[in-house]
Amino acid sequence: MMLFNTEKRAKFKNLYETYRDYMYWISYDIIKNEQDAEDCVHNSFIKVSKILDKLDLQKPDGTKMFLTIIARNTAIDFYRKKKKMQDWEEIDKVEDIIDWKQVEENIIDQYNYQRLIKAIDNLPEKFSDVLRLRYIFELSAKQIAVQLSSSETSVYSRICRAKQLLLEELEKEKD
Amino acid sequence: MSVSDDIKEQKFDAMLKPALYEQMIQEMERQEVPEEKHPFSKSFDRKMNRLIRKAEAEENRYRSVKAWAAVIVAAVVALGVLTMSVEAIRVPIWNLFMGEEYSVIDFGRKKEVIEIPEAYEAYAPGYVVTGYELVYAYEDTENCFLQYNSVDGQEYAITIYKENTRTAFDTEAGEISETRIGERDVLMVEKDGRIWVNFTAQNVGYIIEGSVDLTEMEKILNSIE
Repeated sequence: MMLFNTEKRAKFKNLYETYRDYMYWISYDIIKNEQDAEDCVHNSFIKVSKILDKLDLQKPDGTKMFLTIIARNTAIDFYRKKKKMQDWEEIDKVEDIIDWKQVEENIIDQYNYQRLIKAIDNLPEKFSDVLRLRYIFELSAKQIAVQLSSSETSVYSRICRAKQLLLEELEKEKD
Repeated sequence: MSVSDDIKEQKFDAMLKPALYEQMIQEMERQEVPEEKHPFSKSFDRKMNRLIRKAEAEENRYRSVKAWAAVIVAAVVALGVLTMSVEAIRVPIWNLFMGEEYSVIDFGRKKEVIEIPEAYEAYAPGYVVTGYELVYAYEDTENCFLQYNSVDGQEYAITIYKENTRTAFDTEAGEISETRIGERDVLMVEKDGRIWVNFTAQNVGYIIEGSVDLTEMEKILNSIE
């Protein structure tokens, strides 16, 4: 339990009151069940309580983004468990490390920012979310694993695979 | 990975952060999330309140544990200081840890070692009355003053004049005599149970005064070379 002091509890209460409905609708959109969606919101806030210091309430866009990622992943995890779907842990094999030697200089030199945004848009959510948690919110692999109910190995693997997919997408765009 | 591979990856990562941020903003704008409030169930509200109350209870317990720990530590330290202030307890504990046998352990201020000024070492008496120790030494351009005290508060002092510049000392109401103590001819004054003795040895003047008896005085004089 990380709400160990008055200041943190006040911050948590503020987040809860501001975003609980939003997180409910994100969860409901995936689960389509009111009771289950509420359970997901509850579980999401438990995860958020462990990482409160990473959230800056003065930056509502970033905060909302983070809560969206957590709520969505918690709901997806809940849904899969309920449907007894194959765990992403099994799907995530250890990917090949990107061979940066193969990455042509001109992919990065010709780097079109908008093309990168488009490539991120086309990424499956499980990859884009892990990249967001890593690069925007600067969580460690261990922290990401806790938030996404995953393992550190899986997180490293997904980050690597996500970057590989982005580079492949950029290479396709170039062609 | 080579340096250039590192640079490529760093360039890529540097572009990734703002791109991820901007893409997410665009995605959230496209998102259609109802703005209406959801009427959460009572069980949900209870669970969330429990979450916050549990944190409050843990914080109170933590504070209470901290307070008790501070009290216990303070009590242990106070007990330790009190115990070690008693010599009967301090010495055996010290001997146990230090592996040496002490009979007294004094944690008082380090005793200052008083020494006879180097220029007067050759002239000072070699004999110190039993039970006395040098507690004060003062050197001037013309003389040196040495004071010896005993544990029961008795004292005697020796003033040495290298150039034999005689200084008058108070003889009023005292019994003055020229006498011989040991092998020395001295001028002696006895007053109020104290003795002043003045003499010269090899052109060095001495005044010895104090509450020592004549036997000890003789030993002092005989120890001057």
